[in-house]
Amino acid sequence: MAEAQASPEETVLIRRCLEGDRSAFDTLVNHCYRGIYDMLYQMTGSRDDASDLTQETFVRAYSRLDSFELGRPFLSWVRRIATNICIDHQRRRKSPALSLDQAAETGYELADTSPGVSPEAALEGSDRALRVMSAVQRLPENQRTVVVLRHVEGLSLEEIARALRMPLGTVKVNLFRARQRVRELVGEL
Amino acid sequence: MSEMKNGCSKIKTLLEPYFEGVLPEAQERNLAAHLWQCPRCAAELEQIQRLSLALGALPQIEPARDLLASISARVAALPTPAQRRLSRGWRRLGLTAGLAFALVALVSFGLTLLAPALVVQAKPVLAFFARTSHTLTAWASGSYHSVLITADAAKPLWPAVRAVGLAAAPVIAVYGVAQMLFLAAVAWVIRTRRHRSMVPCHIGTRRS
Repeated sequence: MAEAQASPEETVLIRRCLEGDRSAFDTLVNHCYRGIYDMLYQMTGSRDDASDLTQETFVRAYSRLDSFELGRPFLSWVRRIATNICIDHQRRRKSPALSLDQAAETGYELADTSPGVSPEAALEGSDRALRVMSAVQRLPENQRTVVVLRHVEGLSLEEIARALRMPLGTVKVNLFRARQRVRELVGEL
Repeated sequence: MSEMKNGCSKIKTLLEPYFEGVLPEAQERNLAAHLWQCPRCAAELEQIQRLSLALGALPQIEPARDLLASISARVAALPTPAQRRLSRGWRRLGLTAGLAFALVALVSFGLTLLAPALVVQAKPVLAFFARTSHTLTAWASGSYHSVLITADAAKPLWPAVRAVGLAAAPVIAVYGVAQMLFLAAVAWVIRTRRHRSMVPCHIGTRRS
């Protein structure tokens, strides 16, 4: 499967960055930093780590902008950098799994408060989200990364293999084992 | 019944690949047929589907408000790609100049050491040219004889020159490398100074 191409606007912005226009890079960051932060949060389970690693990701991206292949999607490239940084980070510091209590203490609003959703259903949904998040955090690092890229980022198996420079078969095995393990941890959904 | 159970345990290992749609066609057809007959396996597949939905519906976690500003500040403290290319150019120039210097030093040292021997080797060649060309004879007669006389006169000194030269070889090599490093360091200092003059020092502190 061919990798998607960047939009012409994105290519123009990157050209401007390469010529030294920092505001163009700020525009690119503004487009994708939330998604990168969210992905890193799901991978690390820590707000502070996600924040630090997001900064590190864009610093590295800017430092290596010369090696960026024009015409490729910027987000995919940054995502790959973020994934590598996160993997290095987790190897350096084995982070403890996020418990349900810790997840609840992060202060995020997990209950669905949109109109038309009953409080019971919202709480149930919130509880399920917490259980799933906690289970994902307990996965081994390689499985967690694959699950987040597949389900949170919505990448195809081939895209994950490319992003992680991993054989497709390994991606499949990691994903299947990860989902199996999450189902065991979460129980009935 | 036990045959069905054995079949189910085998099928269960295939449910994940089936859900992802990565099974071979024939295997996929067989599994689909099994799922029609086996409510237990169908329920298991439903759990996989539910988990997939739950994973995809995890709420997006919003970053802290100042994250974007922190990223901008850290990026602003970095040299631009154009500045980096320039600094790489300086470094390359320094290294190339240093390397060239070291090579010239080593080659000139080698030539000095080997000059008397080269002159002796060149004797028959010079004699050949002297025989075959009057013009060359006219040109060579002076320089040829003077070189030979000088070389012959310096003959007793060759062992001493060679010994000194060999002893000095490591010193000259180290000197060449030191020159190379020195020029690279000068290039680096020039780059750093240029960069500091362009970027305020207080920007770029990591957010705690």
